[in-house]
Amino acid sequence: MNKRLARLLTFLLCALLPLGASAADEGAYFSASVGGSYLPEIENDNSAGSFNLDLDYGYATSLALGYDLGTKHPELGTGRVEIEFGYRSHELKEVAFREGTIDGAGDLDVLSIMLSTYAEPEDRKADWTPYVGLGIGAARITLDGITVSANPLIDDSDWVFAVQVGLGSGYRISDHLVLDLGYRFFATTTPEFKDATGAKVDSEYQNHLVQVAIRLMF
Amino acid sequence: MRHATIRLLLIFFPLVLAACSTDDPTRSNDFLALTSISITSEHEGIANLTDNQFTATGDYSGELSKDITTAVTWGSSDENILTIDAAGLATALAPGTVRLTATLEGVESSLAFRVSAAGIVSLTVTPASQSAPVGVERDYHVSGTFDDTSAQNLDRIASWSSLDPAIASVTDTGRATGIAVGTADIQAEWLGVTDVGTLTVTEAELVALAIDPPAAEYPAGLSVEYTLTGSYSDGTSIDLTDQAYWTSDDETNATVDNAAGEKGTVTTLASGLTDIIASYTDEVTGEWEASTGLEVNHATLREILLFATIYDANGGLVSEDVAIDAGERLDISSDQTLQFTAIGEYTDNAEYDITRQANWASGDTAIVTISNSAGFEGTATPGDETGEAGIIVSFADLEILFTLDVNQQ
Repeated sequence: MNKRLARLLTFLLCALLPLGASAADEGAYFSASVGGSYLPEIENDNSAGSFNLDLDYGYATSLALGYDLGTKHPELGTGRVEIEFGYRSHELKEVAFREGTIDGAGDLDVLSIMLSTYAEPEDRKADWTPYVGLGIGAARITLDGITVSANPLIDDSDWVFAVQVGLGSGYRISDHLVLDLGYRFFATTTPEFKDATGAKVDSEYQNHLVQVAIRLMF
Repeated sequence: MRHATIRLLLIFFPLVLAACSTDDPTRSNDFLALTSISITSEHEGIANLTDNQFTATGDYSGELSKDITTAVTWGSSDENILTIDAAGLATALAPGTVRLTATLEGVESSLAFRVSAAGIVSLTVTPASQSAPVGVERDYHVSGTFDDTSAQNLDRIASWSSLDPAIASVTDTGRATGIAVGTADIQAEWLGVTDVGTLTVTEAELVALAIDPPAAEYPAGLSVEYTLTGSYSDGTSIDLTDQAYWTSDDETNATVDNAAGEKGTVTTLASGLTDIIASYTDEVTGEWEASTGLEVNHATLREILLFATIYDANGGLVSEDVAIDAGERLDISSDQTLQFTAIGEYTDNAEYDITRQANWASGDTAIVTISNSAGFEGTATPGDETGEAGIIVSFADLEILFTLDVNQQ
């Protein structure tokens, strides 16, 4: 999945670079990001009790199409709205049961589509423009081939409602190009999976992400 | 858009912080295979007629171990010598040697165990002496020494009794409770052999302090009486309001009185938060402190509600809580007295008794006097003359005026 996204990202960047003609505060933009992702231990519950998944640090990547309101819409304020397609992946490290922790294997992958809005200060003369933002959307969470000491535990996916808050700052490299450094907290409603025995398991997903992005203004 | 987004973020970021904790897992591993069981014993061997607790620990593929004492199936090679229950508690019935087995999921482990013919020589209760305030529990244990010089714990099979049941009681497991001040012997007995431990029961001990009202909210300009109650180990409670030293954490918002008769009276001054703290020194347990939060809110006085209770010359009740509106006239006879109650209604719709803080005045003290003295606020007494007298009740920036018509008896 990450190779396909990387190819798509490269293609879109190459395709869009020649379009940078009219410099402006206002207008559409395209952005692409990569980042490092952290997941706190994930608690999973069902009638048999709870067990926790401990995952390694992972990575995340996203593509977004957005519109910068510039300073021409004072009735709305200054900032951006965008639609973002994201992908995050983590490898399972350990599974904790009541008696202790056992080595685990498998991946936790998340595909998301988010509609986000970012507020920025009205004065954009400085090179760096800070922002804060909020987004809502949907995420498909996949516990891919999760095993405990080679015994199958969960291999299932679920679509859930997702929210995201973020902050960061954009550095204006040129009239058409902004380097964006940011943090995102991404959380979802309770995903439900079936374990290897067919029993329902209520899980959770809360993700911390530090990312670097390029915004290309049309 | 910016302001709305920032507001949403301010709401959401506490959720981000709250999302960083995970509870301990409660589900047992059921993925790894049980590979071995180890049996451990409370004693290496036991005397006849005593008991012994066995424990089974399972090893799961070398990754985990857990207590499976109640999960395994226990067995004894000779139940005439030793029986064992599902919880791993074995009872010796005759001298000899048996082989105990623990089996689960096809895995079995065994242990040879000897029951001796040793006879009991003496018991030892521990601790030999201890003390407890009335209402507090203390545990005793008993061990036996046998004629082969072995010793073992007999807590589960000894009989316990209090030789001074008015002073202390004891349960079947050796847990003693002080009932009254004094000294009690707690006795353990097994096969006719006894020993005692001494329990000295002392005065009930302070175990908790509580301020009333707990976390409260009042408007500024009000006086509220706070109380401090001590809870003791015997289950009793004592009002410690007058013995405590009271302070307010922020005296710009509220003060608290320590004068005799006014202890614990909180006066709210300005909107804000403070803690009301009561410090108390207990002769036995030392320094104690209790605190409760107080919020002084922005509510203001909207109306004064006035009620009168009328008593006859003998103090008998004539009528109770008669509502009096401003400008109204109230008729009484010259041998009656009245106790007025003023209720302040505030802009947050809360109501408080302001009788003690209100100012009471009579327009003609020859007809009726009305008291502002501590403890008698709002008490009206007819004078030597009859007729009409105006009464004014004022508090904060409001006042209410009505007429009291005193008629000849």
